[in-house]
Amino acid sequence: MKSKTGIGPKVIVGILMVYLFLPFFITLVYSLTDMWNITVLPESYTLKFYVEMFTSERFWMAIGRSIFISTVSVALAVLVMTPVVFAIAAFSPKLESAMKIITLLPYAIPGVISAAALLRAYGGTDLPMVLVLAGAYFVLVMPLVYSGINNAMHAIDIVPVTEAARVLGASTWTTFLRIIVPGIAPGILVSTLLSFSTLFGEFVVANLLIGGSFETVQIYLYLIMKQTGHLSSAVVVIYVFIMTVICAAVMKLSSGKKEHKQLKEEKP
Amino acid sequence: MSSYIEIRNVVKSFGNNTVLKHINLDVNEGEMVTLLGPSGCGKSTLLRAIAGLNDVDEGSVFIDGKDVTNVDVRQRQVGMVFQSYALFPNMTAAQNVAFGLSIKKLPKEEIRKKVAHMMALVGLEGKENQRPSQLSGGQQQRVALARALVMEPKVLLLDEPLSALDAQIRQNLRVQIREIQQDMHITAIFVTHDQEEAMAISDRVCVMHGGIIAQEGAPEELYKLPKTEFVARFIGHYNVYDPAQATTLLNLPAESGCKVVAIRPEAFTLEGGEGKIHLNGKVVRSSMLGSVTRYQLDCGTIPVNLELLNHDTRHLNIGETVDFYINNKNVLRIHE
Repeated sequence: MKSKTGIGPKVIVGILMVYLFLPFFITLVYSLTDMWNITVLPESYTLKFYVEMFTSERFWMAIGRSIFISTVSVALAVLVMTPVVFAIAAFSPKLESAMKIITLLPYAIPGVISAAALLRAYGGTDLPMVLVLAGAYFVLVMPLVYSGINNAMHAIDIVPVTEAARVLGASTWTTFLRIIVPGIAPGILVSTLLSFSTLFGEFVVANLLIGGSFETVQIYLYLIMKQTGHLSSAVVVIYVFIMTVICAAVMKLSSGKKEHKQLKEEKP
Repeated sequence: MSSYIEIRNVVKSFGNNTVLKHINLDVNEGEMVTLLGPSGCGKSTLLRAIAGLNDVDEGSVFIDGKDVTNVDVRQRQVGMVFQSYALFPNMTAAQNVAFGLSIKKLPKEEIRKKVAHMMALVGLEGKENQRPSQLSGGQQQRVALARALVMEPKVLLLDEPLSALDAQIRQNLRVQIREIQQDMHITAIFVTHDQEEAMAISDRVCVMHGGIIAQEGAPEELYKLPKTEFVARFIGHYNVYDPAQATTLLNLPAESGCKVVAIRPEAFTLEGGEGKIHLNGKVVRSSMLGSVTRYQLDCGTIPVNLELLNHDTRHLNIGETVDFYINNKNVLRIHE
């Protein structure tokens, strides 16, 4: 039977979409204009800010630094958290509640406070601040990495699977590498992409800890906003484009997992 | 002759809860023994102790004459089938079956032959390259069975392997497991809470209750001669009465030391005869169960469950008052 929901929900969704996308649309248009100060519509259009951005070594260095610091931090988090989550889920399930509390702590501590604390702790030491930033980012993405890996781990019925492997003669390490990691690979990938996109857009901690000495995309954006709004708008557009690609990949991977599960449930 | 599996005085506690209380059990080579009992009775804990997945606080486990109490699960040479299948989701059916052999580092050709043989044995030819998510529950459990059997274990342990399956698939797989076990002459221990399943599949059934083996014996013996009140209530649909109810219902003198009186529902007949006890009751409920119909009769204030084969000419109607009979030898006096 066709449901009679009327046009109300569609109108609400439409308003929401306009609210969400209008600022981005205006930013996009602004990045393509040369002059747009006193008229309703832009006076002229240009791609020169994109050309300027893509030919700027500073821009590419900022992108490179963001990719570098995000990749290192996420890789560290995944490499550390995956075996930890496996060990807890398979052998010490009682620790899971404690782990959940620990991984929620980064939400309770604002970036400004943690950055100030890190500066206080490591500011006077010889430790490179890039390493401190990577450590801070590790903590920042811990909740995302933990929940993604933990959910994937429980989706494969971790305890009996691990026990079955042991009965068949596999060591814990073999079980982890040959069964668990491939089994939760989609979960790891989703966690990695979400964490990467979070860190790629992170500004507060990076700016307070390192600032201009390690110019990430967000710091670069912040600095050029003071110079020209058109160029910074172009940077924003590219940033949103990258984030959209990452989000699309996450959605594709997540929906793939759901379809897989649905197929299994429908089988007689 | 000593038993193939010997469980000696095994005790296991989780915190203050003692789950296994000085369990002793012997299983002969090639025998299929079922651990039957309600949730929390300790049957799965005992199975896991035999597998080596749980250690024991006291006692010993011997397999094939060797004390394996402190032997790691990987060296015990047992095969195990889990209720939730526990297949490796990243591997195909054939890769699942081959996994244990690859851990043993057998030559690839030998692995291929063994896997093909085992897939055929469980009736899964053509499904070798399918992943667990592409298989039905019954097929997944057959892969799990093949994965355990291909290792040629000394003991096959089955932890409620049919509980997650539909009734029809459960019955078919039950028959298949029994046939394979008998053909391969494997010593097997099967855990279930389903008494019908236990009766159908086993050479011997151990009824567990509260961390002890309440009674063990051949299925028929267990069904016809329950020794404790718990077993009488758990096995079948026995009518269980306290001595006062039994005296009122059957007009028999109370027997000293008798705790309860148990009567199988199919032991009642509608035909009288010499030496039979006469009863009279009103039919209050009937349930058609396929080959038999179960009636609940009200005999004064005492309910009686009675089962009649469906090919019997006489059928009872709700509200009808019925004369029925029981032979005194079918009235079991239970003292424990």
